[in-house]
Amino acid sequence: MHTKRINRRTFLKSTGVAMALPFLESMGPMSLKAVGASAKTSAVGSPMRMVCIGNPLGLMPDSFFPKGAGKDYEITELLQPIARHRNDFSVMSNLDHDISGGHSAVHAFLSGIKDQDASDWPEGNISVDQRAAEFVGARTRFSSLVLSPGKADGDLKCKLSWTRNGVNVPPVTRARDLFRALFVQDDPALLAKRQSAYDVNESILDAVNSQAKILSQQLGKTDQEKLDEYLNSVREIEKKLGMSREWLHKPKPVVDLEEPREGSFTYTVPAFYELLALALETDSTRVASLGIPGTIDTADLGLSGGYHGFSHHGKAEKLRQGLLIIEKYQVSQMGRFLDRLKSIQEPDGQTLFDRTMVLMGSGMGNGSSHSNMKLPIILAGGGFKHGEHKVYPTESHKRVPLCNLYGSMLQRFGLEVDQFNKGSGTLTGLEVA
Amino acid sequence: MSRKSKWVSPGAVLLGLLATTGSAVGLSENLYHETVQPFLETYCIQCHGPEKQKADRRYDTLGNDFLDRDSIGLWQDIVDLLNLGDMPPEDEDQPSSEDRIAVVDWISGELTEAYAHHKSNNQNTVLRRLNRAEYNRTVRDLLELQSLLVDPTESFPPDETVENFNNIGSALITSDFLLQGYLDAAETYIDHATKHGKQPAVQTNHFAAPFYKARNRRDGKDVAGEYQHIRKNTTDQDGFMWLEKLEEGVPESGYYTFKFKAQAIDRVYPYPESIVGTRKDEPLRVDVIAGSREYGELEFRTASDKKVAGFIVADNQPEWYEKRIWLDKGYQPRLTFPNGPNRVKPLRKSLVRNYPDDFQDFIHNWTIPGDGLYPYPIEEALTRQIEAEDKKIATEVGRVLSTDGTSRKFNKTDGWASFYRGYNGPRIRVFEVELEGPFYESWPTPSYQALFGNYQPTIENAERILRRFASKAFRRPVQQENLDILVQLAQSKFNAGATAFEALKIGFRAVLCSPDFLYLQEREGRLDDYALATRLSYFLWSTQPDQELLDLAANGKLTQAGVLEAQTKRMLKDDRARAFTEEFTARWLELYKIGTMPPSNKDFKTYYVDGLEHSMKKETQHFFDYVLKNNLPVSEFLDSDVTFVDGGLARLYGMKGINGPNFQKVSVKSDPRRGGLFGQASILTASANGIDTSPVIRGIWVLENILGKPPSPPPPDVEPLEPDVRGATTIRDQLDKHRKVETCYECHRTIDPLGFALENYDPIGGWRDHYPRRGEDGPLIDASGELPNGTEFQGVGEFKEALSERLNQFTTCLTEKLLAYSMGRTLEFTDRPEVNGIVQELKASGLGMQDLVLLVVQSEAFQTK
Repeated sequence: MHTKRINRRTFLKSTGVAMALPFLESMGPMSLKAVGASAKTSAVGSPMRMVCIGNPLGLMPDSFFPKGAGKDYEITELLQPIARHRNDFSVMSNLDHDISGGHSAVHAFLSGIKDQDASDWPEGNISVDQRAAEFVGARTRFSSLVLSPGKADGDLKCKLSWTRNGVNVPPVTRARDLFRALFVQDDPALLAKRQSAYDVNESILDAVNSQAKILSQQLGKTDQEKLDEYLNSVREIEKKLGMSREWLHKPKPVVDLEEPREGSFTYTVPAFYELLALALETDSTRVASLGIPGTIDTADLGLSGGYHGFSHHGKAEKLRQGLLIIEKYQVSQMGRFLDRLKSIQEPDGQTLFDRTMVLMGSGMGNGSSHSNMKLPIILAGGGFKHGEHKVYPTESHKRVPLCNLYGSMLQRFGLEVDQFNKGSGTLTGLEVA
Repeated sequence: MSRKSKWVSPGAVLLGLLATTGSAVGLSENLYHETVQPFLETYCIQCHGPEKQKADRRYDTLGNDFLDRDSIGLWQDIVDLLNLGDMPPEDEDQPSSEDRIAVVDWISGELTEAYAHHKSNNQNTVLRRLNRAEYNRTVRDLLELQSLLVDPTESFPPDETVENFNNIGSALITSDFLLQGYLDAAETYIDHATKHGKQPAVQTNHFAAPFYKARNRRDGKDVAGEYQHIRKNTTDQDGFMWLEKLEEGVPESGYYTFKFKAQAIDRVYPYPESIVGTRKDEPLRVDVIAGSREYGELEFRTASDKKVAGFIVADNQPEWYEKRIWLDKGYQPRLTFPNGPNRVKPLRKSLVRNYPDDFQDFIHNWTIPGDGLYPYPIEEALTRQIEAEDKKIATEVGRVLSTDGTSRKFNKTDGWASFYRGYNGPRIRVFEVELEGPFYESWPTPSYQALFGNYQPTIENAERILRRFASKAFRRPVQQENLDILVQLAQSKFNAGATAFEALKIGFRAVLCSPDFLYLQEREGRLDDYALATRLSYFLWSTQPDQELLDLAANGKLTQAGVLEAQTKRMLKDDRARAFTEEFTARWLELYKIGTMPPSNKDFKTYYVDGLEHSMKKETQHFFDYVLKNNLPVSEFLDSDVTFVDGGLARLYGMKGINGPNFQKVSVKSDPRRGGLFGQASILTASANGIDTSPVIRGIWVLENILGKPPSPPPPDVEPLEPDVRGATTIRDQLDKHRKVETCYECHRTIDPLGFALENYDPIGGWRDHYPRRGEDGPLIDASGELPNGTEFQGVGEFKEALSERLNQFTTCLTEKLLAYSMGRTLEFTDRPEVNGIVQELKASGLGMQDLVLLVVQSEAFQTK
């Protein structure tokens, strides 16, 4: 009870400025006037996309990591469902974030930094997908989509995406909601309601902002800094309202797909992937994360027992088999998603697959022992050279940070960065084709 | 138990403190060089010096500078461990008690002066926002909307926590996600509160069976026009009986009289309990759960589900059951069977295989030889005929979903109906349903009056209306400057074309988003009366102060002699003090974790069948209430003769003769396994992960929440243990490395024994003598251990005795937790003297829990920012 806590949010003051730049740059005449195809092709080639897929319980190391390195590695049981894509993905061994904590460290999969350590880092614990989303800004209707087929609480929740303010982005959990957000035109009456709702909220924000300024003058320094969170939030929402207003009047893309219904896990996962493919194709977004929660109903896969229970197999064979089924399902669904991406042609002649980086893995290295080392990583698409099992060093002074992969991905996405979060640069051995 | 080394009684320390206060500097210096320094060199430096720094502590460079804050922390640590006898370790040389006392006295004296010096620089509570639970309670009380079903805070980001507390000012963040949440929530709440116009007419809705079309899980025993059955648990898919005629829900929010006629069927059924689950000696129950079509299909669980009533249903004949419930617009009441069979798919398989004679129609028409449901050997099937049938069913059902690992199931409508015709398991038979309403306590509603008072909603009244409402919301009279902004907002909306009513609503919404509402208003130094009233009401009620408190604050009477004490006592007797019991136990004892890692339905069926998740929390809440309301000594938490159980918990604890969902007090005097916190399922579940137990996790729970000595985090490069359940090795054997490796041993000697004491409790708090292993008993559990000061124990009974000798340490820990929770800040080392003072005073008056709350409220820390 006697440890002193650093004020976690003292860096907030600077972020207001830092955040403005990418947005202001993107709010030029080019990006906001055009929608759909014309905006896409006015850039050189079609834009890059990024999709990150994760789960909180890992992929069984014995069944995931191949034995040999390089091009001729033997396909393992967990890679079997995507064997047909073997020339288009890379599987990587011995990468991780050098953190521990079991369940409590899993949320750092896409950032490398645990939530409680965020204040020690200049960009907080921002995840790689949100960093990319900031870069896109308002160029697409949604700067990113954060998805999770199913609800969960606590440690079994898949908390993939984090903003630079240390907030976990709440995911969309129902396929129907995603469909409506992406493709259902709001009728003019609803649009008018939205417009006036924005007006009202803006007026309210204006009023409370003034109240906050009065309050601030009555506070001591530490409290003023705390109240700055509130003032920054007001500014953030005003910015977002501004962007939403712009998009309000742009028509949404029309797609040939029925609105999905409520359904089981095995219905919802493919539905999410289909919507995601369409969202990328229509440039409704360029960044997405998909988290499989640890509380899925395994009865849908013909199993009885909880996902979490299977992950604690303790080496018992029957439980391992059950866990394999759950994990193979996840990999095979990702494989079908890759098929879909390959089938979509971009205006410049490439396939959507070539212009989309797909990352799949987990912040848990071994669900049974709760180790967060040696994380399972698959990277597909994005125009990189693939087809190999890349084995990184295991000696403690030679370990390669997983954040180096993220640095490469962000550069490929178009950011001019040298490294990302804890990374020391880009990932050696990963090249563009 | 045995004890091996000497230790100092707390009495000696107290004497020491009194003796050395006001000692001259010269005398103190001499004592340091003559006694303390050599003591450290002899007994401490070899493990905490230049060569080794065990537990990251180094004392040779410590010096005697008590002005340095880090040094103060180290010295406090030293004196605490010397007092407990935990240091020097068991197997090292021990100092004489004279030397030990002399050193402890000296350090304690220096610390007293050091704390006094540093006090002016101590920590304040940082501007503290309402957390989600406090926000909800406050808005609902402010707007008289306590029964509202919809919860607009569901999409709020979760509250940030520190040391398990979710009300710490410095940790709680306001992000733009949250502020957007506040904007949306304010709109929803104000919309609900401003119902006006003509009072809606009361309507009566009558419903006859079947109440809904049960799609492909139809019960073959239903009789259209007479009755329909509920035959599965709430938590099983489509376990809800809903009203199809009322799919869109009620057209108006309000109170409704809900009636239904039902009977419990086959409570005593002809199959073993192990297959079906439902207890034959427990009454069958019905819960009424409101839900909205907006959130999903009403036959399934949805995010909108809210329990509004619960009944025990009689067996012998149909009876009417009735309750007045609140329904939001768009919601409808649904019936469920909470102690019904769970997971009917495996149930069906079990019954068909074990009682094939009852299910002949089902077997011959709806199962495929070779499929799991077919109970006979495959050779008995007439091959050619069955192949043709197989193909026929496959094409009728359509394309079968085929993904890795999914088995084929055939779920045609009449298949299930056929099964259920042969099924004689427990059911709730529902004959009729009636719904009448809406009714209101008054018209306009209390919510409307909470907002407008007796004023007409005109723009001329804007300032009066907003002054009244904002002052209530801000928990003190609103400043004119602030009020002007609100009035200006309403006025500008009115000028732009909104009605006065709409303009005022916007003003109300702004009040609920204002920082004066969202944050507790506390200024540096002594809290003013309004701030004190607010801090007190959030401490004991987790909601805004009531009119009586505010009136006392307005008249400056709150801090007068005896008033604060009287108010605290009043508030503890009020129904709203339930919030204190619920929130404080959830945080102090980590009960908020229950439900986040639900145990396996197969291994811990009773957890679901008996509704233990809910009951176990209630037990601890009842117990806490009992200790608090009766002002019993806090030692009751460590061990007690009494606990509170319902039917489900009684079964878990092996107590006979207690059934049903109501709680009763029971004596556990003769059972050392229960009694006090350590025997309560809630603690044992919160400190496990739903699958297995870990002495390390439980040991840490005890250190953090009972002894107030959280261990250092594990080193980052330690490879965690992979559990291996195949061999005969127990967790104790696997943790052996904690003893054999020196660097591990330092910390784990304080952690592991505490967890071993509790190993006889499984992950949901049930007692076990052996570890589980598939089909048989595993190894015998060894729950013995040794505390760092040498005290040994065999099992939880002796463990509790050993801990009762650390009553001082526990009382200090509890005081710290209570103070932190009450003030909304974590404690600093400069709080130590005040904590010690409270503990001493409490000991002198008998350690009563309510007295502790009073001491906290009257402390300087509580009354200062």
